[in-house]
Amino acid sequence: MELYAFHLMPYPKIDPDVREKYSSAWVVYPNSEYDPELGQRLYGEYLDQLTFADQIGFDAVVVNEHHQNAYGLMPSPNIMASALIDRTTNAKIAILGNGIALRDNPLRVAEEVAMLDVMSGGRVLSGFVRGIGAEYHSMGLDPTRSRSRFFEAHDLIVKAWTEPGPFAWDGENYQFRYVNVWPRPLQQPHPPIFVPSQGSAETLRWAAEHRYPLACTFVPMERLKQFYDRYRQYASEDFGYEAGPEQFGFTSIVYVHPDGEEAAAAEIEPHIQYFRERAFTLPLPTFFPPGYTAAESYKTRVEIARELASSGGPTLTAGEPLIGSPEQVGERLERNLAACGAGTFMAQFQVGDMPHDKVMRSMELFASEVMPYLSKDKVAS
Amino acid sequence: MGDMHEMVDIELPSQLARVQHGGEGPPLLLLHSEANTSTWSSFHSELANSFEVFAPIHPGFGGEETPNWVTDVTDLSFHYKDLLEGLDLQDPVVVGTSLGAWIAADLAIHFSSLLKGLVLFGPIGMRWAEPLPDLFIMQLPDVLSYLADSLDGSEVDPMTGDADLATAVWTDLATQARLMWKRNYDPRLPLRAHHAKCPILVAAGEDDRLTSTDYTKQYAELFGASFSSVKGAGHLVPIDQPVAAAALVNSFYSTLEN
Repeated sequence: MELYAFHLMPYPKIDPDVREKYSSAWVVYPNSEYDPELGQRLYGEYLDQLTFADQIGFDAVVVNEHHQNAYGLMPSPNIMASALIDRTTNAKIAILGNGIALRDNPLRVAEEVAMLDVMSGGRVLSGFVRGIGAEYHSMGLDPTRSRSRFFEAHDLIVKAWTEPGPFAWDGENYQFRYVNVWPRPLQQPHPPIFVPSQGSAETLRWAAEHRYPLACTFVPMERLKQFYDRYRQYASEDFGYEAGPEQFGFTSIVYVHPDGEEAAAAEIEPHIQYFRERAFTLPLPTFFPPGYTAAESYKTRVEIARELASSGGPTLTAGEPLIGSPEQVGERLERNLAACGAGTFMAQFQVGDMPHDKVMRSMELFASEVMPYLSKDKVAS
Repeated sequence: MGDMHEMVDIELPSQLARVQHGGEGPPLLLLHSEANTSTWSSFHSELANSFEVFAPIHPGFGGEETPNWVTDVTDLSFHYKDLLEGLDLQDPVVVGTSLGAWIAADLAIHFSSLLKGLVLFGPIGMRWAEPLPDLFIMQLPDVLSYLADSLDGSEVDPMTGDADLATAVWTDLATQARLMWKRNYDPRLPLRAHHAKCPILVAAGEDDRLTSTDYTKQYAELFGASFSSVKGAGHLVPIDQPVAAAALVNSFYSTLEN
């Protein structure tokens, strides 16, 4: 089993009335609400948390990309990855992922990730995403081009990493007379590629075809199983191989408390509520702008939104949070991994406006009490 | 009588065109707006009392995914040039609403010698000092209320309305996104408008929430067009006031006959 430490780096002082006053914590939530001095402290604390994850033996630390919002303060995941290189020694640095379709020049991603890979001595995992719908509003990009740009940017970057330059690229979305990326990545043929996914059939099939591991965030366990089963089915039926557990990873919230589930839940609930009611304030037209997906997928999205609304709104409990005593967390984690056949678990310790000391205490308990339990089991199997 | 119509398919170099066809009289090409994109409306019926109406559904509308070949409004102008040839329409009058009016204006910029005249209801596509309201970030019911007074937005509310209808409106919006996401205007319009040499009437609803009267008047001026405003109508005049809109087309046409 691989253990990753996942972070969103949220802004913890979102207006309590964000929904009524601004309707969104994304795109139009005014940046006058951002306090740069608080921001400096936050970056320090969040980086300390990921650094600590490396020290206590996590296999990777995870950063990601979102724009013009208070939900996650990493518009450039590569800058965060760079900051983590010198702070960490063993952990891989997982960029899950770069929004390659958002770049007018995807070669910039090829260059930056290659730089990070060389600088870190080959510790980079390179996730590629389309970017959620909100990014298309924020970046002034036509969402109807998103899928086409994503697939082409991927092909271009992989070719730039693996084939000798210079070569010419003449695609539907990108044209370059000279592709000749310096530096080249250290890992050969290139840093491992991950696909963070919300489970569209098209993406699942594409990831299965390339044998790219899936990384899913905040997906209910039942749906997660469906996604993985579909991936496994594509792999065996269309591409002639059996997909192993190393090709599946998912994120859940983790909160460990010595006194068990009730005490843990009471402490984390306000932060989950903060996340749900403030940071995740994201209206459907912002999340899914016209043309961002096929019509069928939009209709499915509408159905999910209706289900969520009738069950009390989008909740992180959808991602099977691991909240409780070390034993409870360890047991549930193993049960969840076994249930869906995943080999990688991405723990999110910091949630919403959870303060630094609370995060560190939970991580310490995870390190001292949960990880030995897991290793014991790993040896046994 | 104007209710009688049929759907005609015609293969064009760009793609198959689906054209609603009805009525008798001189030929009229009707280019639809952002809403009710595949309906034979009461405006169609009114026009069909005096004209032979050809009302194509734009590529990427009416349930069709946005085609790859569509990159801007001029692509659609050439598509409709091909349609005029395919249907052998001689000197049609072209009537367009909002996006349809923009396409009609662009068609006239490129091919005005083929057209008898234009009626543009609530045209868009001209650069303006202030950005127009952003339809793409609005909740779907609000989109409809910005377009016309008489449309019922609650039907297309994804959370409480008809999910199929909401998906249909969202899919139509996708093709508009392809045409207008980055710019909901053509910066070349001021340099090219004078090429539209046929007679043009621009009309706007008095309660238009999308474009101001100043905007529409300047549009008319740019194209050397006459201007008319319509009471009790929002941006999509033919949806809010079908009878008055058809009357405007008829009276405009009668000035061309003289």
